[in-house]
Amino acid sequence: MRNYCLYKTALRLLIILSIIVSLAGCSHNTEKPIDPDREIVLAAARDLTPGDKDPYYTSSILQVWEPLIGISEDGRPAPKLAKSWEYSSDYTEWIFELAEGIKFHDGTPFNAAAVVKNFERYRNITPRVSTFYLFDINKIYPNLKKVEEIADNKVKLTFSQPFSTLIYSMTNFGSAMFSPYCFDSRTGNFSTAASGTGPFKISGHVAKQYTILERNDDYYGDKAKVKTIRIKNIPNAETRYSALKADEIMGVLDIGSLTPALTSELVKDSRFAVAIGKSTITHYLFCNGEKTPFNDPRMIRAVSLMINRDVLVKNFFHGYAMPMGNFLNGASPFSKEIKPRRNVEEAKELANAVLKSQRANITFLLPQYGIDRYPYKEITEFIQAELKELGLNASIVIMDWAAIQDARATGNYDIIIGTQGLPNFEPAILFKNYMKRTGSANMQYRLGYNNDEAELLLEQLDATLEIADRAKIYDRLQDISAESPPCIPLFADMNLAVYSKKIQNYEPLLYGITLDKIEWVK
Amino acid sequence: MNDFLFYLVKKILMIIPVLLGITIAAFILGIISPSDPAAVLLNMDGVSIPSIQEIANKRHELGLDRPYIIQYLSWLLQILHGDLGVSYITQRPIWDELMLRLPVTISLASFTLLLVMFTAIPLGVFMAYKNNSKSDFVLRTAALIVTSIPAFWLAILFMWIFSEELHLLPTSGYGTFAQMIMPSFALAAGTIGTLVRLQRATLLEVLEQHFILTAKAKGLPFPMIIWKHGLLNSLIPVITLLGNYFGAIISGSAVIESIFSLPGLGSYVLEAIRGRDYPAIQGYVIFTGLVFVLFNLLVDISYLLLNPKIRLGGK
Repeated sequence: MRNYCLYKTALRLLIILSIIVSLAGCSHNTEKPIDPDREIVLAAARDLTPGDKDPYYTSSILQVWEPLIGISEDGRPAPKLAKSWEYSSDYTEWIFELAEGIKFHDGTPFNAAAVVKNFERYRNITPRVSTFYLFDINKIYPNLKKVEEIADNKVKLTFSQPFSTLIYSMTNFGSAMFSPYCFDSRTGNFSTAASGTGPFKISGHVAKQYTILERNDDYYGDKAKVKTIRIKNIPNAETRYSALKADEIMGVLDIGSLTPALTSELVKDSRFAVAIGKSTITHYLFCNGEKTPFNDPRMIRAVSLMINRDVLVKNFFHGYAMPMGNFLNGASPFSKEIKPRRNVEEAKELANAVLKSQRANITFLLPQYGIDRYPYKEITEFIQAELKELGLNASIVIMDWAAIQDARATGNYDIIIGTQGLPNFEPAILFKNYMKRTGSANMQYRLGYNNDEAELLLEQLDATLEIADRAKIYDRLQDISAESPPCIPLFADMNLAVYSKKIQNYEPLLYGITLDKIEWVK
Repeated sequence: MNDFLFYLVKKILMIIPVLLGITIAAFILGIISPSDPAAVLLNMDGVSIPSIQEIANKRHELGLDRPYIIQYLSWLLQILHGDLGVSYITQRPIWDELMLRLPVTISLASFTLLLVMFTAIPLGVFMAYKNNSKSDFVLRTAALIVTSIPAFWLAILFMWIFSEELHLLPTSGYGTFAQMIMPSFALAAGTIGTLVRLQRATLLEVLEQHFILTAKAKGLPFPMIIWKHGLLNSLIPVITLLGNYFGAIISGSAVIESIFSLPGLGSYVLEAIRGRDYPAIQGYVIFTGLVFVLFNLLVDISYLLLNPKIRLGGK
């Protein structure tokens, strides 16, 4: 009787297992020829369509709207909706010639009147926060006096002060164009879904869940290859990884699309691939220059010389980052290559000179987002061990970013590991923020940076109009920042476009991926 | 009937000071939390570095430069008018934001609660019926194991087996029945374990009572004794736990929502905390506080229906 019961139980288990396996088998074996118009599903960590109150409604990477000035493949400002421009000799008047025959998704013609309306909106929304880029007309277009339509396809911008690097400032998010009928120019809020000129239209959006993009068949340029794309919002990196493995999504995009460790693990599976591109994000160590021991610039230099960036990139970023010695991110058109220097002996000498053979206890703050998105915990522990050799006993404290901002403002820290992105292609703002005595970052982050030559160069910058002359100043500022850094550059992020090999042409751009080029593999 | 009404009115009146306490706690939470919402907001893109003046302007715009007492009173007045304020981050009314996410959380909570009820109560009764048998021992051990497994670990395990390997269930999202299966099971497992043991223990305790002995002496069949006399009398602690549990899921199953990309209340408050969106956090605290209070009230009312002693005011 007992044996019979056991036999019955075993048989039941076997039947259940067979059902599960056959169901799983069915799901694998139902491969059908792929319809080229079948929807492609991708995923991002955040909702890329924040909606009506956002200055841009949707991220530029969804290619719904286009700017006046875009970015070329070599990472420089390039014509987009403005096909050319000219300026007065004193750089106070700029005339933009607009591309003709273009219509917004709602059928409204794109012309000078539409541009003027968009500038009216810019004024009314300033300043408007966004998870993409804060929009402030006074920062993107400083001293802008007026915007006029001088012909149906020509717009004139007049400034009260010369602005020679305008096109660097207005790339991408700086000059997003929308149909005047999709927003209320008084409040600046969108009254309908954003209607841009891009290769995709928004055909559906459920907040925090997904955005459906539909090909704009009236697009003036090369039309998108695929008819519909659904961008799902999957906040958790491990879930995005599982969704890729489960064939639910075909690729990931946007910041922190997949951590380097998960990317490295996923590409071991021959069904997946990764394409790598430049990113505007740099990882830094920010030192409190108002407190001992980092109030002595030699100590900051010692830390910079001590850190083995190659090991950090190779071991913790799985090679998906670029070691950096330059303060200015490599995606900037003004960036020059400065290889990071490592010299342990020199670092120890410098540290010894500052600490006078004593040891110092310091607080090393680690933001929670760095653990979620990057291998910051491991990196911090590695740096902690290196600092020990310099005589610094670092206590690592994990905090959320808002609490770190508070600690930074009150000076309750010694070192913070974190990121800084490029605000736009005009690096002056970044240099001023970090290297000027009164710079926002220098003061608020308590960097205590004080370099006479940098101060002088930044003053000269205001009076230097020619791009070539400004480039020389930027060159020198980069050299100064390498010798005497306001904060210690570690490595530049990489834009990881991880995708299933069921789709093709999935290439990373500086912002996003080649969404209009992707298609099913035939 | 009078006793019933008196009991109900007393319970409802007690809600008022509780809610007032919740508003004070929610407001103080915003004050004592580190960091300045204005600075966090202006640096939301991770790129912009606002100047001190810009931060001051933003603080003024948000009304954060007013004395705390004025801030609290105007906020309280606003709440009394049914307005929870506007989110710093999304700039939308918080009520709208909560209502957008509530259906997701209610679906998850309902699925989970049904799963817990229809699994744990019958199993607990079965274990009491088969007290100290082999099946009771096996189920008790299983209950202990599922209680000990963290929900997030179970979620990852489910995702690996049913999504990555078997391709049977979707990893994430909201809108279909299939999308609710894994989150509900992951969330329910621990409580099923706890409730099974509680149901078993309370039923066994009830079965020791004199009235059960009387029923046995009358010759009633044991299953009928359990069903008609034992189960109902053993349900009060179970219902208390279920009521609080439902409230707890409504107020935030943040980890599970985050893993399965469910845009519910839990993931909303996590985002609000990260962004120091105080109106959103405060609105959430008040809303979930209210939910908890209401569920406790419902549990209290269910006591009245289940236990005549309470209905009769202990007479």
